Amino acid sequence: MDEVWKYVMVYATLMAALVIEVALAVNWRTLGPLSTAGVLAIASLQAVFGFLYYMHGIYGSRSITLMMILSLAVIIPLFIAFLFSIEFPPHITQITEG
Amino acid sequence: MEGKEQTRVNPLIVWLFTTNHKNVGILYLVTSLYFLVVAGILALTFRIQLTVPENNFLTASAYNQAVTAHGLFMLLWVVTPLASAFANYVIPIQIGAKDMAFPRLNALSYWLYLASGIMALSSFFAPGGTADWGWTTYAPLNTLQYSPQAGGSLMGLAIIILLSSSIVATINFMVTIFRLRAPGMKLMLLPLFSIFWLVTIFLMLWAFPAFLAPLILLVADRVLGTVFFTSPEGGALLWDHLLWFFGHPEVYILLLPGLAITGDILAVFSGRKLYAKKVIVGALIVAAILSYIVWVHHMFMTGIHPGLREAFNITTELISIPFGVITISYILTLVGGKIRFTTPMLFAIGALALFIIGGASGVFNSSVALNFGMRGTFWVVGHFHYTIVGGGITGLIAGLYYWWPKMTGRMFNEKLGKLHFIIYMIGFNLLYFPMHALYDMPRRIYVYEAATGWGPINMLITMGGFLFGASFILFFWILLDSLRRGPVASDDPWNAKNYSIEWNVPSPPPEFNFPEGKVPVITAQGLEFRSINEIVGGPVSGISARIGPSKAPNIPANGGTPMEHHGPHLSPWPFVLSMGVAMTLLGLFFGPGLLILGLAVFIGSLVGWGWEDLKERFHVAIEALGEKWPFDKVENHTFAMWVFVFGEIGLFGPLFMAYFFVRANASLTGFAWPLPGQIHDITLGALNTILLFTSGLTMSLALIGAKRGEEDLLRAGLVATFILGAVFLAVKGFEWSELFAEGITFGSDISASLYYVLTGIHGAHVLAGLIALIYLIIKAYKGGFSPHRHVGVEAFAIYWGMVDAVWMFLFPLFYLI
Ligand code: HEM
Ligand SMILES: [Cu+2]
Repeated sequence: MDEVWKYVMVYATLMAALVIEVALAVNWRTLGPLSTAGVLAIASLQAVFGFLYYMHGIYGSRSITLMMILSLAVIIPLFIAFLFSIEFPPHITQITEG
Repeated sequence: MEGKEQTRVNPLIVWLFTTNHKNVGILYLVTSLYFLVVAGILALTFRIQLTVPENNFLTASAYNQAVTAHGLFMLLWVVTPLASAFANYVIPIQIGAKDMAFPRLNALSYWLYLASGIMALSSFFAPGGTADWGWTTYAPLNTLQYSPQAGGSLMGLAIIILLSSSIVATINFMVTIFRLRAPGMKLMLLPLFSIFWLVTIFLMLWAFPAFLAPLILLVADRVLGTVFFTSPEGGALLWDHLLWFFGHPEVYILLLPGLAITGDILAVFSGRKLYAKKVIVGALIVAAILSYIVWVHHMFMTGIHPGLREAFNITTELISIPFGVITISYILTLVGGKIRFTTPMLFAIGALALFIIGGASGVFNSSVALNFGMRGTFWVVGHFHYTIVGGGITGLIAGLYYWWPKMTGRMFNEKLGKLHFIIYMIGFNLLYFPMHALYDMPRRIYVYEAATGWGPINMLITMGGFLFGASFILFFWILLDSLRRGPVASDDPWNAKNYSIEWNVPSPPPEFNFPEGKVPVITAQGLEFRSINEIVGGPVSGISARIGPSKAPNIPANGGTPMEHHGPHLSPWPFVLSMGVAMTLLGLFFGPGLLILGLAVFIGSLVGWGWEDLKERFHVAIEALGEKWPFDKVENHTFAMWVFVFGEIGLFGPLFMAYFFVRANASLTGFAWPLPGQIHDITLGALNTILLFTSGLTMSLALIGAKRGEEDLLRAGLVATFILGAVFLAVKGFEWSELFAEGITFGSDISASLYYVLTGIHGAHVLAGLIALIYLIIKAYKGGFSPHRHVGVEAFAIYWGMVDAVWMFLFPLFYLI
């Protein structure tokens, strides 16, 4: 396939994902958390596409992809720690009471 | 203009405009030593204050400022820059390269560092003085309520610039160490210093941006009035996590270079190979990975989940294992060796001993139970000074003695060096050891009563402090004395020829490090210098064929070696740009005149830098033809851009985590998060998404055009990308102004703060992209790209793709959920 066409297809996919994303948020909001999860899942898929095609990661070396994954992995512990910091929020009680 | 003409250039111009890695290294050295003196004097002032009970040498405010500036200067402006000095000077030689991959960026790192230093020093003179919240900058002490002085914000900005400088350096070293190694120079063959530095920059790559994130939020709070650290949804815990997520990797960033030098020196002066080098490197990598998952040990007393405390108690205790392994390997290196007790060796042994003590007290800290008692006391101050100063700085001092003859071509007075060592060790231990006895004295008080009984120990500590300070006077005297009348140093004064490459070249090395027209090659027999033709087994045209003209634009047609055809190694723009940045930001605090001048200088420097590039006035040493594992397949510029992107993940990742944390907390505090469409117009958001997606397509088409040599497609693609990006910004601006008109400002509430700052940072990226696009468009219209030469377009496409990818999250986070 011609390279130009390939990028047009990528573009079309991203736009289609955008339409679904907005529809999920606006028309299917009744789904509640499912709608939120769907929106975030689509955003993540879009980002993977962005990495593979717009950033040309798919043509790059495997080491680059590995580094990309490492970069994202570094954030995971932060996510977990934040998650477990919400449950016991004395800082909140302190500020709101004081 | 050939290299020789440069010697006729005014020396001041050479120092200001140099891009040579060795000159940059010396600039780093001198500047970091200057900050060492400043931060040391600050320490002496607050030590005087603490010497006796109920002292009034300093006011509370002055004390707090002195402690804060001391900590920040030492961590950020002294230790790592001093390590950078050596990294700049010796690493290119150790890996067998003629310079760094990007010499101008290297100069930029230094000048931004200096600019940030000037800003930090100026913050003392801003109204109300400088930051006074302790180096940890805990919220809410860092908020305007408790620290209203403008100097605090200036200090915050200074750190932001410092971190930017480090990120530029990180990228440069990453490319240099991975891709510029000499033929045969496998990573594991490098001396510990290069290997440890590589690991250090991996820590910097993700840790420094993670510090940038909360600092941007903090400066926004203080300057724009956002509410990240004053609202209950963000507050103290948000700062704590982000700071220490950076903070623990940071302490290894401080430690590793010194620890590495210690190991190298122990091996050289015991005449033995490093004991189990592979094990050392393995342990190092384990420690580096662990360093990202232990930071909560600094937060045991915050209100986090007990399970989290347990988990981090365990990871923290684990981390003493790899360091134990490294320590034992070091000791075993000495066993059975013929030890030469030179000054560098003495300092290396001292560093090892002090580090062991510091590591031991760390194990006590990691126990949650003990930590409840010792947290925030002088015990902790003792602990981290033994590790950072004892292990880190002592190692760096050993390194300065070790490489001094190489850098200056002069030997120093060994007798005085040994005397220095003795005074240093006595002063150090007198200063820091008694702190362990003050395990009940809080570290953040400026006066105490006599009844506490802390007086005598504090007296001892202060005496130790002055002795320690005095040892530095002797140190500097030794160095100056050596410059003035030290005996000339040979190429290899320490008999370290077989240990690393720098001892096989003259002291100091020639401009491009190696004998004219030759490059180092590592063979089974060891190091050899070969002419470049031999390496590729043919005339130079063979090289062009192999690496392609796009990657080696300055290979001369006449068959000479590339480096002989080297253009001037000077560029004014890194210096000018950095001064523009400093003036602009200082102008925010000291007057609009300076601000306008700074902006003019800054913009002028961008134009100048771009012009220098377009005219190809500045030449970079060609890629070495050696080892590039594991990044053989990427080109230097694109690799650099990728590294930048990885760093950006380190910035946006924590910012998105902050969003998540704040939003989750909002449900607890009862804050009503705006519903989709309630505040931000979904249509406008979607429009902007479409604009960016489309610009991603046009940018890809531009790249295809460049690859195929279809100039029209390239130009049209670039111009379309520019227009789409500009319209995106215009829409964004419209949205912002509408919001402002509705009375929704930066500080309206936490959701508004997040929206403005996150989309603002993203918008700044778009703006930077547009500026780069202007350059690319001009170059494209001048015919500057060809199927073989378009790395600029390729690198920019990666950048633009990242800007797209970030927006892919921003749009749903603020408009859809
Ligand atoms: C080798 C094992 C180590 C362990 C288990 C360890 C553990 C700890 C723990 C638990 C704390 C928190 C103490 C408290 O606040 O009560 C701490 C503080 C600290 N450690 Fe370590 N540490 C170790 C090594 C190091 C090293 C190598 C460095 C630096 C090169 C270092 C630098 C620091 C700093 C700067 C602080 C205090 C920060 C502050 O509160 O201002 N530690 N350490
Ligand atoms: Cu730590």
